[in-house]
Amino acid sequence: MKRKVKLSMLFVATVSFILGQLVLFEGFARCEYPEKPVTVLVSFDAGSTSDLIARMLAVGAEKALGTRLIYENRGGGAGTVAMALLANAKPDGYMVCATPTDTIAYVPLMLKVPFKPLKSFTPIIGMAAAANTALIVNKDAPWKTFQEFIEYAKKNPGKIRYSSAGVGTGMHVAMEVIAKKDGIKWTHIPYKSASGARMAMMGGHVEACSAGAEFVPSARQGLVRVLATHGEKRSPQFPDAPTLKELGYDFTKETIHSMFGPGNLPPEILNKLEMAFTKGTETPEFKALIEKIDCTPAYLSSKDLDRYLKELWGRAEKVFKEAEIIKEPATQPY
Amino acid sequence: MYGFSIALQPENLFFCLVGSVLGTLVGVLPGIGPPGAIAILLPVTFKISTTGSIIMLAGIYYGAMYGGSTTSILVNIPGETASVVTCLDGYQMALQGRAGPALGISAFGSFIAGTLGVVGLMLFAVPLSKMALKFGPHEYFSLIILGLTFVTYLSHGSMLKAIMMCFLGLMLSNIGLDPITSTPRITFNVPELFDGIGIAPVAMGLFGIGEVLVNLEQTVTTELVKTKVKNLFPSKLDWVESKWALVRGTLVGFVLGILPGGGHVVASFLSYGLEKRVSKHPEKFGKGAIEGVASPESANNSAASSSFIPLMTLGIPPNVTLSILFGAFLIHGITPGPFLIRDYPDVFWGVLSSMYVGNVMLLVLNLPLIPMWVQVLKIPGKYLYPLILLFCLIGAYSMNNSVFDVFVMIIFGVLGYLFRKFEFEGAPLVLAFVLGPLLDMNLRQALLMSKGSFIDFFIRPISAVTLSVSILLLVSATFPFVKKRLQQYRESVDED
Repeated sequence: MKRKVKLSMLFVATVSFILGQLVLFEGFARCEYPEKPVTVLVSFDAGSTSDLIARMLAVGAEKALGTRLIYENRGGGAGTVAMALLANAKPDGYMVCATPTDTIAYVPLMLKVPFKPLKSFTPIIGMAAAANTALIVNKDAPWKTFQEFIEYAKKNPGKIRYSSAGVGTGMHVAMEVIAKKDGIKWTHIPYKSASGARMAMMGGHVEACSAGAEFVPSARQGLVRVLATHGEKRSPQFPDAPTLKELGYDFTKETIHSMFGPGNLPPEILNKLEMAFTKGTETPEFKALIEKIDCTPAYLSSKDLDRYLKELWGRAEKVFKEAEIIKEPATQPY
Repeated sequence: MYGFSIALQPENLFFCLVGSVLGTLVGVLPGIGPPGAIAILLPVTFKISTTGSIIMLAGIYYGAMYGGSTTSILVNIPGETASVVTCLDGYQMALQGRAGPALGISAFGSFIAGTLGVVGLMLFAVPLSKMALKFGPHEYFSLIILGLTFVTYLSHGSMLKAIMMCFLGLMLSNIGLDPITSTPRITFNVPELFDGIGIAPVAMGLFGIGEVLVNLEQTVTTELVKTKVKNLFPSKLDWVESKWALVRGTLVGFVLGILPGGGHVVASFLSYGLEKRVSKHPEKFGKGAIEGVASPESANNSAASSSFIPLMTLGIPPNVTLSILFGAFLIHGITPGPFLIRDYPDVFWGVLSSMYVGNVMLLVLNLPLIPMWVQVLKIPGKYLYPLILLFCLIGAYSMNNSVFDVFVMIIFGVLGYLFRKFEFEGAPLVLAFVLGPLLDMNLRQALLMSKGSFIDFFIRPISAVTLSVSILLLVSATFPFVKKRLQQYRESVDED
């Protein structure tokens, strides 16, 4: 009998210990923000450029903020799934979302999304520019240059299938611009992240990939071949690959990986988050990562990022219309 | 060796111990199975490192395989489904006063099989993950279909009901924003539903709360064996009799564990049947043959190890427990799949090595603890069940600090209770719920690639084989039904 009681107590003790952990780690209520860990939504799957950048931010930002950052990958809809969640979150500073500016200024032009791109969010900080995304093929693919690839695609309509990180991303838009100008028919296979898209190509399931910046290590290992890059200037890592602009296409991809909060974030919380994430971009670890994945540091404050996005929307709308990708924006910005 | 350096860090060693102990506890206690326990503990893992939490959750899984046999042998109550077969001979042995050798051989058998299983996992995981790159959307789609077919085919009750649960799971998994176009689906403009419903509240509701509700109805009468548990260790003769049973059980378990759909349960049944067939004295089975304990116990433990192969190399969880573990990986920002070994070697090798360490721990823990586990069974339901309920409620809330999740969990708790009452199984629902988004994305990608044609599914070799197996399984399941109908028809003709 005694033993039975003892054991019941043991079980109760175990359970209360675990419960205790839960309560303790949540932290006792303090009156100043942040009282508990901040959730960082990442708008693409693990391993994507957004994911790498967002996670490396924690090194400096956690210390500056005085709390932990909990990362959650919510890939889908070219980043708009995570942003729709953020749009509906309470503006209490406990949920933010790391996403490239494509999700704000490119995707909503092509897809009707359940938020207002320029109204539903508070821009917190711009972190890194990833203009050097690229059109890549496998190392054993028959096409050595961009021209050969385009020749083949023109002669064999519908034969080329390419993967990308999703409908409306800058990578998808680049391919659409090419297709419209040259009258090419090819098939787009959207993935939930750039890494997923690249894997599909490396597995031989699609012929080409309009890849995110995370492709760089695999290209340097010689696993994939770069046919063209999407940036303003040639990538210093692949000086032999021409830009789309040099090749005569009127499209320069602009992408800044940024951090957003829900709309109407109170100024004191915004200031704290902006300060902490700025600290996050200043660590040597963060700078090393940015360089490794062929991004360039592009620090934008909350105000600058807000202005940049408004201008970018206007530019993108004009380019998309001129390239005849869209007639009217699918989503209203405000 | 790299893995052991991670697994042997004090922190991970501690989580491994906690997992193993909780697992054994879960295995011993009838009612809460490993899926329930892992779902309940999921929120706790937020606060600890990824490797640590996966180590702990995996410990619960294989620990339960150890613990499950204990009550099967002592009180004829299987702690979890994979130990049902162990009851047949184990309980008989206990009645004959040979509970010691029975418990001993099942502990040693589990240890040997578990360890060999981990070695097999280490050897085969890497080549398998290389092969996994060949898997495109078509192959994934077919593989998922096969997994879902298996889980319905192997269901204990009506297959039709299992298929219904499967489809319900798929439908539930579609709630939320479309993964390609971001269009809300089945959300009724409820913003909370944009994110879909979480696996943790669903699993906790179905397995935790549902279980508590069912148990409230029953007054459990446990008939404890009066016979004293004498010598714990099997004699030399016992070893001689059961050594080949151990080896065969391990092999059968390892192969079947890889297959999707509750492999470890089938493995234990199959290896028991195999032993009976090859035995020189099949008449002894069911009357206390030690091989009848050794083989299913080794089978379910090696299956527990090998079932990690599809999860870690293809990213496809082969059973319910592992699908919740899959959820745990995702929550920690890791997508299990072909690139797990390359991208997260510390997690991969750390968890594998910890399974080895955990098996040693379990052996050391279990032998002296056997008499104690029997005592735990005596915790009255009136203390145990409210605790589980409390644990579930706090757990569901603390995942996202969301009351919405608590409501979701309660709804699924009530559903779980009704499912149990009307003999619907929760397993196909949860598996379909977890695999649903993968199925959705891969089907659409596959159709885009083949320009809307379904023929590619039957042309690509891997996909064609897997799909054919699924179709064969489904067709073969309808045979008994057709036969019965034919017979009825003939009888009615004869009567006329």
